[in-house]
Amino acid sequence: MGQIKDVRELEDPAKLEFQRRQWRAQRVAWGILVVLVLAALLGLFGPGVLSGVETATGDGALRAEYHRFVRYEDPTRLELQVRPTGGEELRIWLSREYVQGSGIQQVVPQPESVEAGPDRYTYVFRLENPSGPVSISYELMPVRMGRLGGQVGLEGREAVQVGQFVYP
Amino acid sequence: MDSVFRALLVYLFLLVLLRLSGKRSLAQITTFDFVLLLIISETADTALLGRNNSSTHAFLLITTLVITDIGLSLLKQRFPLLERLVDDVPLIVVQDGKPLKDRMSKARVDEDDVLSAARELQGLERLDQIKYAVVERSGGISIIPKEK
Repeated sequence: MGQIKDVRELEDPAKLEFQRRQWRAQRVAWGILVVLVLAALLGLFGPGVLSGVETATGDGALRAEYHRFVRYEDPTRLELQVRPTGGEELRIWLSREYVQGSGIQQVVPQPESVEAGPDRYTYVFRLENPSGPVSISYELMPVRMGRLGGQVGLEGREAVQVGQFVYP
Repeated sequence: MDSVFRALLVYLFLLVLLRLSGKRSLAQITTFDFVLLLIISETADTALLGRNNSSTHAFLLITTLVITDIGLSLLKQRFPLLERLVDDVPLIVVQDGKPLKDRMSKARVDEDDVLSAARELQGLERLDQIKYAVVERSGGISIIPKEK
């Protein structure tokens, strides 16, 4: 835009038309922003109603709860409900790709030991009551962006699929 | 969800707090007012971001703050009462060269402030050259000189 030498040049129809189009574009943009905020409220960009996932194995021995949409370096959780099937030891494994991408910060309760295998990590817990249900919580802080998937299972049993998307 | 709520909470909190503190509080009159503003913004930063490092969170915060502000400005246009509640009303503190002491002390403005504004804005020398001095909604003082 060149220099304006006379204020009346501002009444130029082309400039006014530009202004009107700009206003229209802004209104549309506001609408889009409102939709984005509503989507965020519902949980499309992180925790929220649409983000919560609950999945279980066919025999119901393992149930997992997590958020489908998580964010890079933003704390989140993988909650497991386990119905042990005898024995004082509970062995839960997570696939290697999931352990590497999810950035496990802490496991509550703390496992007695962790065994690293070529494609899975096994967390060993000692049970006080071998028949009662147990909750185990993995506190995560995803360290990879994009799709993050893997499996969680009780050793020797069926596993559940975990599928998440990590926003930047 | 958390990002939107955090942004709304901080927006609302700052709005209420700054409104209740009065219009002169952070009008950047002194260097310290300015420093205080910086400290407040730094602290609000913690409340907004928390432990969160993701850009998505930051973008959502900004979007929510901007959209809330736009929404509020549209509502203010429609409802004058809301506009007064959120934005305050201007107040005359000097009329025909006479300071209205009661209002001035309530608004925390003194003659020095009015004279300083009169010098800066209009190049006036004395109070009796002022027709009106108004404490605006922003907290600044505007001066209307007497006609010569």
